[in-house]
Amino acid sequence: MTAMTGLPSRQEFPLTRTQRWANALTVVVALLGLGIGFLMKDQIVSSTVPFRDLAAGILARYPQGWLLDTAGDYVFRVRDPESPRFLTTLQVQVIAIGEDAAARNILDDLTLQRAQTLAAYRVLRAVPDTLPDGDPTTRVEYVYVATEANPFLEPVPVVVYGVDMVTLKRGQAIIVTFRVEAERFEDEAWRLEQFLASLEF
Amino acid sequence: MRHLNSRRLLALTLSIILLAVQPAILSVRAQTVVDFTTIARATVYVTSVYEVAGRRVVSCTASGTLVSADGLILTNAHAVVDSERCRVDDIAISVAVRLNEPPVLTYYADVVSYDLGLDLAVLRIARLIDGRQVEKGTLSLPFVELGDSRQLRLDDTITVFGYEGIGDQTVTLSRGTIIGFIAEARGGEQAWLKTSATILGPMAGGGAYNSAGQLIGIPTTAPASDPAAVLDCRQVQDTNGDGLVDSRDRCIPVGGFINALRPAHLARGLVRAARLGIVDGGHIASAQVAAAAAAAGEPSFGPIFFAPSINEAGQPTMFVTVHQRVTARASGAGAGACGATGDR
Repeated sequence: MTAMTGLPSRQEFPLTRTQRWANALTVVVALLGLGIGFLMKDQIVSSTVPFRDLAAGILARYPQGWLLDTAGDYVFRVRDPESPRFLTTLQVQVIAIGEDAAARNILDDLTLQRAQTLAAYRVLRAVPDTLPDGDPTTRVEYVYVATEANPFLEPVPVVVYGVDMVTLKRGQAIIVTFRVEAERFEDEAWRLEQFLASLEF
Repeated sequence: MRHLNSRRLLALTLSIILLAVQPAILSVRAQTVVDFTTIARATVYVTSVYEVAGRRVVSCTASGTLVSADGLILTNAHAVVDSERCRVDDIAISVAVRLNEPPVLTYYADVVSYDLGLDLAVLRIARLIDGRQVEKGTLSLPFVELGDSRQLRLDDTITVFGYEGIGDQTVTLSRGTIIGFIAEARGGEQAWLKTSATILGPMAGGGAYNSAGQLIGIPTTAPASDPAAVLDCRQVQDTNGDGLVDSRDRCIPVGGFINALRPAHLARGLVRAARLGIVDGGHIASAQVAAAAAAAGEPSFGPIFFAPSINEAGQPTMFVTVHQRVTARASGAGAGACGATGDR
């Protein structure tokens, strides 16, 4: 067999105990490194920072490194500056409602206002859902086309997929909005789940 | 031979029985082919909106029914024609894409023809909810066929479709029978159909169907003579922008229960006019006739209806008598509480 292949067989030059340990340890260290790497990456990617608005009664944790904005008609909005074409957005809005209002009324109101400003806005579906804390909510999925207003950037419009979680509580509607480029929705959907799990109101 | 005769007799008897029960079998088959899914899909939710400081606010809602694939909708006029009770800048149409979910705002529609006296209006889908025009010939929506409501008899079974609330409700059906007919000056012997079906206020403008699945009536709230008599009203939005929803905000009328239907034959003219693209033809014609008569210096009257009072739509609340030909002098002499309507 040796003569045919020209290579020495394992029986002729057996590994010493030290070599065998070295081999095994190399494999173990490599696996440990990989594991720690994955853990660190996961920790970095999913690390969050707290947000607190006592006036609105909102506590939440948003992804670290995202840009925080509280200047609009919402409690707060955070956006991922590293998103390639459309900045992935998480937003919390609180609006006053009547005691007879249903989630559908809020949805209609949002649709009427958004359809005036968002191109090709279309609601795909609205279904009852449950928040991680057990509160009933309505999940609304919609799409629209985001276009850059500055023509000098020669932008290509982006199809945006949005999800609203509309929860009615104490005469208010709490609307959690998640928007992401449609092509990346499947990969980024966990961010909404993570955000909802941390949300208290 | 005797055996053969008995066989023939048996065959003859069976044939006679089959002939006797055939109409019943066919009738059962005709009833089972009614496509309630299409009817439910053709039932839309009509939302009238107006603008306050650039913000769109809901003023009135009703159910409606698609009567053509290219987007003609039959509904109640009171919910889509601008009035003191119901401010209308635009009419949004929600469609039930999935029957187990609430309808979704999808289109804006324009009023093509209406009749406040009959409380019927025909809308045409014109734009998508984001304002883009709907290209002609591109719509292919589920729709229902108008039936002949004059063929209805007492105790005929009907099925009513509509949205029973302004909240998260899906399209709902209610079943009942025809329990009476009401005559009216303009509508003839069958101006109203009374039904035993339970019809909630927001189902007004929807559709009532016969056993063949044809639209034979429109659940309609009879116009109240007192404009302040709003039956039931829900405050759901902050319409004045003060950050609160209270009694100072405008509410959405939802009405009480309805037990009357406008027969579909009274809507045929409006639907036909809409199909032919005649916009608000009846009103224009009436105005033109009145203008021509005024120019000639002669009063002109169509049929004169005498009634103790008229409602907000200018229609007699109770029919007393009618004169087909009345001179101006005679009508002036007889004027106590009378409402004169244009000739249509």
